[in-house]
Amino acid sequence: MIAYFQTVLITAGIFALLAQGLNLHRGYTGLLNFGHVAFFAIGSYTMAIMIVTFEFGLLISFIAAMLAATIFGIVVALPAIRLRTDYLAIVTITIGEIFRLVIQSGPGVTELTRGPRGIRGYSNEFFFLREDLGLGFLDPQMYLLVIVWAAVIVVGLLLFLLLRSPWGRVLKGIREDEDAMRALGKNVTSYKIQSFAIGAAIAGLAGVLFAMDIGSLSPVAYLPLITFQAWTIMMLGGMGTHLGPIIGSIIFWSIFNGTLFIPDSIVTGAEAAYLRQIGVGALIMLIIIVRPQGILGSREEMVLDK
Amino acid sequence: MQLSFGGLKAVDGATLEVEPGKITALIGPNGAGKTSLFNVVTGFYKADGGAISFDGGSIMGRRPHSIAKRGLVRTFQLTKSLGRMSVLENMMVAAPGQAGEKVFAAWVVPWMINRQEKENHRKAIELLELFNLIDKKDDYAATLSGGQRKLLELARALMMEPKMILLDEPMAGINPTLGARLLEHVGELRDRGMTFVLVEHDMDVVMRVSEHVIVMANGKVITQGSADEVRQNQEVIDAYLGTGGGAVDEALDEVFEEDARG
Repeated sequence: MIAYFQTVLITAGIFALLAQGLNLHRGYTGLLNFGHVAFFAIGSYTMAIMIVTFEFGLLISFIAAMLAATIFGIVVALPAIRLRTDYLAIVTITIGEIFRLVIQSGPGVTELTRGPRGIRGYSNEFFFLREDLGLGFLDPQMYLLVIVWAAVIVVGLLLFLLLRSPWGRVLKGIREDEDAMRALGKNVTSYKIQSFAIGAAIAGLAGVLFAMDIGSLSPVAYLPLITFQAWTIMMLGGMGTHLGPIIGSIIFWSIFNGTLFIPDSIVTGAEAAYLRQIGVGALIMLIIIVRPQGILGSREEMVLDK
Repeated sequence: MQLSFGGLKAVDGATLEVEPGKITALIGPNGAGKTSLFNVVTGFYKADGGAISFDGGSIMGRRPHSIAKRGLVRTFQLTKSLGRMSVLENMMVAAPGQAGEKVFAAWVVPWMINRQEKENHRKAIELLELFNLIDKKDDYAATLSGGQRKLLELARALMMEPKMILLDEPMAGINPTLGARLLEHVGELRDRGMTFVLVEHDMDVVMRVSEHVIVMANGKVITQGSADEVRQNQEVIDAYLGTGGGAVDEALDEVFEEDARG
């Protein structure tokens, strides 16, 4: 039972971060990003490569991972930002897939990413560090849980401060009507890039923690499914709300891992894996029908048109 | 100034000048290029050729936000309220030079933001009171009526402390009472030295408020002058009616009214 809660909370924390980044893009700025998994992956891989191949320290690798995600966010944003709504969605989903295929089999790239064989052995220092942090009394899973949720809280607070400031107000304005914001003297392109970059950096951080959790990296861990899970979490919790991604993530992963409680005599482990996916699909439909604004979203905002 | 979409010349050599501190009306039949001209002047469309200067500097080819920052602000034919933000937020977001609009400023200089927010809040409340929107300040902008949105758009433009405002059909779809109030505000602001250009189809409005009328047709300026001069001008009549329009004033009024309805 404890193991169940640990697993749920670690994954939920990581995906809460991932969904926070997406919420910044979609919930606050109105950017339809369907390639979020790419930022997640670049965080994981940059950290792992820095540590394993180039033998950098943990802290530098952490920072490099977020920086790489930020830069990649800007690079993606530059061409993509000129596109609106569905067109942006199509481009971002493509970028996400291209990125995964490149780390899997890109010529030259696979020397670093080791293609489908993946990378391992990058997480030792992270787990050894718990002695130095005075968290030696925790077992590795518990320690990871503490670190993940510390990150969730810090990022949540920092985002809260940003989004309630005039900067966040401009983002919301862009979500509502970007031409109106141009007419009000706001450099819309620049704000969209900033939003993209910061959301990507948060996804990169989520990717680093995800890598610590799974222990070895391979491209199959970064399917577009991850993006859609983040979307489901965001919609479940409520788009454009501060706590939505966090609450959405906890609920989502409780349900997702809930198949553990079904006795083997009814559903085998292999069957349960499919059952989970069906559950996710059903959950998405349920949100749309019953509470399209999500748990924390406002119904009034939902029904108002622009 | 020139602008074309493919083979269509939307603005075809229109040349005009707007005097500071006055209300200038831009009229012309549908498709004359009035709104296109607005879009070019405010940077939303890129002109193919020509020159635009404002307040002693060229603004040709500049991007919309930088033109707006210089004090040349526009409103839209179809109002653009920020629907799922409150009326007050709509106002606050428009304030110029906000330190808090820089990313991370909220982490670094929160006291500076607080101070500016207080000042902008005071200004926003003042304007909302003036425009009789104060009771709506916490409502979503999307819940306002069409006329109230027009008022909000003008009030929001004023938050930016502009030198000149371009109003694209400010009276379209607005009830006469709100319309009259909007025009009153425009008149008062003009008296305080602000410059206005309005595209308008309602000739009563044009004749009543504007000191200068510019008539466009087929992307060119065909004539300009005081309201009365323009009314008598043969070219204007031709542009609206085709050549050989009969009982001048009567026919003109009819067409203008039709235009206003359409």
